[in-house]
Amino acid sequence: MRLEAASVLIKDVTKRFGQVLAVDRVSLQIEPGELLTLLGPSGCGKTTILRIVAGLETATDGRVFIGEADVTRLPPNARDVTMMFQSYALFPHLTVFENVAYGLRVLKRPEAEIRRAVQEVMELVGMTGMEGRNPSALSGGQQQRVALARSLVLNPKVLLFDEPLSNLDAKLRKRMREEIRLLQQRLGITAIYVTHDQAEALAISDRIVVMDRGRISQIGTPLELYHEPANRFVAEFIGEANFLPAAIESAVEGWVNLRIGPQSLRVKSRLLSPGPVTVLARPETIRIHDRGEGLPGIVQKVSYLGSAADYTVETALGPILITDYDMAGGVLPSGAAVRLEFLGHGVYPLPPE
Amino acid sequence: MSIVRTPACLAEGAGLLATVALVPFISRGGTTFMPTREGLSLTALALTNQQPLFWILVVIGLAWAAYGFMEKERSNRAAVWGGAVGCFLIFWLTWMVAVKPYAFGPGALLSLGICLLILGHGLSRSGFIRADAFVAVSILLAGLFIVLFILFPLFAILRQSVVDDSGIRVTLLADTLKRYPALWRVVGNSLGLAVFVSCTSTLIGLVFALAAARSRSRLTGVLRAFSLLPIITPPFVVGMAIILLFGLQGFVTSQLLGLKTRGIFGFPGLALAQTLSFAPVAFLVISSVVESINPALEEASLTLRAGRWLTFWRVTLPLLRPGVANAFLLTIIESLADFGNPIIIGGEFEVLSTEIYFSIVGRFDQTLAATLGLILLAFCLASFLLQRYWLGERSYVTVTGKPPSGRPMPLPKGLEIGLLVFCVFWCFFTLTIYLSVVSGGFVEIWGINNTFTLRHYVLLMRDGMDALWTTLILASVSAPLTAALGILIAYLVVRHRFPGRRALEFLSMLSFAVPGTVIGIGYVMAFNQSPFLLTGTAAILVIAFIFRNMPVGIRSGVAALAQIDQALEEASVTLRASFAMTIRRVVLPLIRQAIVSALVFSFVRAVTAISAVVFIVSAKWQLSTKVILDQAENGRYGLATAYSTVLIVIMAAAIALMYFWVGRKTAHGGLEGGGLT
Repeated sequence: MRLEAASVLIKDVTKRFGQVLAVDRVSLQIEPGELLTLLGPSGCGKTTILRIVAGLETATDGRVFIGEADVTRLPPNARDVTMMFQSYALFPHLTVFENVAYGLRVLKRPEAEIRRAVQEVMELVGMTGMEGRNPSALSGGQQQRVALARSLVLNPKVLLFDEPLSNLDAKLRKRMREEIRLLQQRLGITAIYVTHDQAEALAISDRIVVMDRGRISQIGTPLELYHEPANRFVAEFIGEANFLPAAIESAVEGWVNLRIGPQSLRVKSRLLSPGPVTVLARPETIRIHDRGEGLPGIVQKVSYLGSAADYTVETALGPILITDYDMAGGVLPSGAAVRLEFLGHGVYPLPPE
Repeated sequence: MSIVRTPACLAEGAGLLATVALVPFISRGGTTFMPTREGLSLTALALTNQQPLFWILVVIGLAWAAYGFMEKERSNRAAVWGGAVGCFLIFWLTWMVAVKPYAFGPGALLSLGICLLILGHGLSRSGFIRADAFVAVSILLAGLFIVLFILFPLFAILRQSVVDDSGIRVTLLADTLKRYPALWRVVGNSLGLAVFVSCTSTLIGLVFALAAARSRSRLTGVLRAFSLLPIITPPFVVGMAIILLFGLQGFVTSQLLGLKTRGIFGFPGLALAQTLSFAPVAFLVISSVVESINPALEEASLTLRAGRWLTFWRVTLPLLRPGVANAFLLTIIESLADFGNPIIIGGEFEVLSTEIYFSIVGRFDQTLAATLGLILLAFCLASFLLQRYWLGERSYVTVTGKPPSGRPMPLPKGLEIGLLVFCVFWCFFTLTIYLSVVSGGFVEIWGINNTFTLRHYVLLMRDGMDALWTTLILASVSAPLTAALGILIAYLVVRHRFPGRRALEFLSMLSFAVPGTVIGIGYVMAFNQSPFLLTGTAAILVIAFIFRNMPVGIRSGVAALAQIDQALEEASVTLRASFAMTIRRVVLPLIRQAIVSALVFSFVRAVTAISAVVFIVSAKWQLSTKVILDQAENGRYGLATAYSTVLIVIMAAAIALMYFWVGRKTAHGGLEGGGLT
């Protein structure tokens, strides 16, 4: 299967629904072959942008380019994109084969070519032999694959995903997202993926766009977003976050000396001026001890998760969440007196808002 | 064929040129669809010496055909302007050229259609209507039809009532009414009857709804079947049956009680007839509300220490209030619009619908008819608007939610027994009504000579078959058109956003609120003269059927579309299918059931129509209902009931066919608030 991946350019796109401003002057460039995820809470505009790229909505302002072509005013069936829907949208009155062959039939391809293409793509998604079934007779995961096959068989320039895994249970979701990512990389196809599940976004994306109320909060790789969030919103949305008051004592060439609680840490940061600062500390980067010289605290809540234990510890800096994967000292009980130790690589001073 | 970029443009442009050159533009002496032989030469081309502006049409045709060879992008603005100019031109030109007895001819209609296509292309490409050309054109056509066949007749009535020889005079309304001394009596009668019948029908409907939904007895199936009977009954059959039972020679009054009285004529008989006819409508409306009550609410009440009686009074009944109010307002409209029953059994009790009829048929006073029609329309519209907007159903595009799971609370025992007893009694009474209708066709002269005879049926076979065939053929022709137009409008309104969507939706449902009599006189006044000459043709009957019954198709369509995930259509479109293909391959197969039920109900309503068509039947195109009416008015009940029985059997067969084909749920869905006249 030859695929020509294309870039996607979204330029100053705005979308209004009556009085509501769903998308506010968003600009994005997606590289060919990249899987870009639009991530954010409900109502942030991510689905709207996806639908604008698909042509199911028309932008109030701005333009959309797929490859070199300006597709802003083109209807969906004239664009070279296909979409995977949250509800799969498999045609209930057609068999699996007819579902996958639908687009090819619309384009009036010869019968032999249709049969070959369908067979090829069914193999690709691992659904060979299911062609005669009816969609209602398939499980969620199988329906998902058929929907994927149907989207791929037309060799689209861009593949769009609208929260495709929300209707699956947790284990299946993990497996399917990996399969989707593998397939996307293998075919080298440009993909735009919408989800509100930040773990999913981190797991499969080349880059993530975090959106808030119609605007872009931050664009970056998963690593950048997790470890260097641009603002509090992104820090809170991705992963768990503790926001703690600290003070920069001195700064030299990309490093700062930070005082947090009773601890002094040398932390990599681009902030230069000394003074009070809010730091982000991820729960898995804080060590919890039952003795020692760290920040003192009392355990308020304990949740045992099997692979880790979640603690909420009340301290002088406020309540702090800690995730302990080590559990060397067993699981500490509620009410225990503990000492918290911060690790240098886990503390990130946030830029001022 | 790569030279021709857009074959559609070429075809349309060529079509326009051909129409302009070959098809008669105006109709002199003939009717709109059938020009006379001499009229064949009146093509637009031929008329250019009289009206040079016709050349513009030729220019548009050539230009559009030329665009077929050019890049797609260029044609947008031009298309919008060209199409709009073309349409406007055609209207204006025909008006100018069309002095009585000229009228629109087929050429004008065809060129208008093509210009609309051009306009549709332009609108969709320029992004004004965010969809492809098919949807844009559908919207324009639907809009045109509605303006032409719903608004224009209403306008014609208005014009008739305020225009006299000296021009527009609004005070004409007051003058006309002053000349008509019975006005307040007639209005009072109509309103009083409507309110009374609404109360009784709604009450009976409530009783039936509760019994059918909540009783544990097995009679509920029978009750449901009874709810269908009056739908398939021609409107005055119930009136006739009441005369047969309670009239001068009535079975109950004369044979059983030995009375000789005409007391049943007038208000008592009319109220009884209307209640019998409309209670099933109320039943259907209330019953859907009953079934959608969340059982959890009643269960919560029970756990909060309330017994079953208390729960019924304080929880169940209040929850039913919207349904009851809805039914009430709907039956008011039905009663006001009813024509068949008042004509047969109204006696001296004059109501607006019959008075309008007599104004035209007896007094030849069109102005009076128009004025009374406006009054009747005002009442019906008020009730309709109240029901739509005050009761909160802002748009019928509200998704019907899934019925709640869980079993509803059974009724208190005493109540249940009471309800069932009443239902059985009422069903028995209804059965008697129908039995008398059927047997009326088999006796010589009811009440006077009760010997069994087939004479009436023989007479029917000999003389009545023409009208029957006409009725069935016209109904069969109009049913698919009605269903198609209704479902198309439902699809446009539910799935697309465009300027004027709300207006389209409102206007298309309007024909449900307009009483049949008003539509009838509207059609007479609008289409009796240029620019649209349609009276005396089959076309006007078919059109009347279509636009009277369109709400049935729309309701079916809306309900069915609400069940389909919109993502299916979006998926189809992202898989390269156009909107037209999507409708054909995805939407239609999935709403098959709604289509079938729309077809059957359109057919049934067309066969039983009387109030709208009583004015527009002609010697050449007679309808069965009119024939039955004539026979009944002349007292020939034998023939009338025999004919009615035949109609009932035919329609029962049609509905039974649909039931078996499509299943029960959809069947009931098409009946709600359907209107019976």
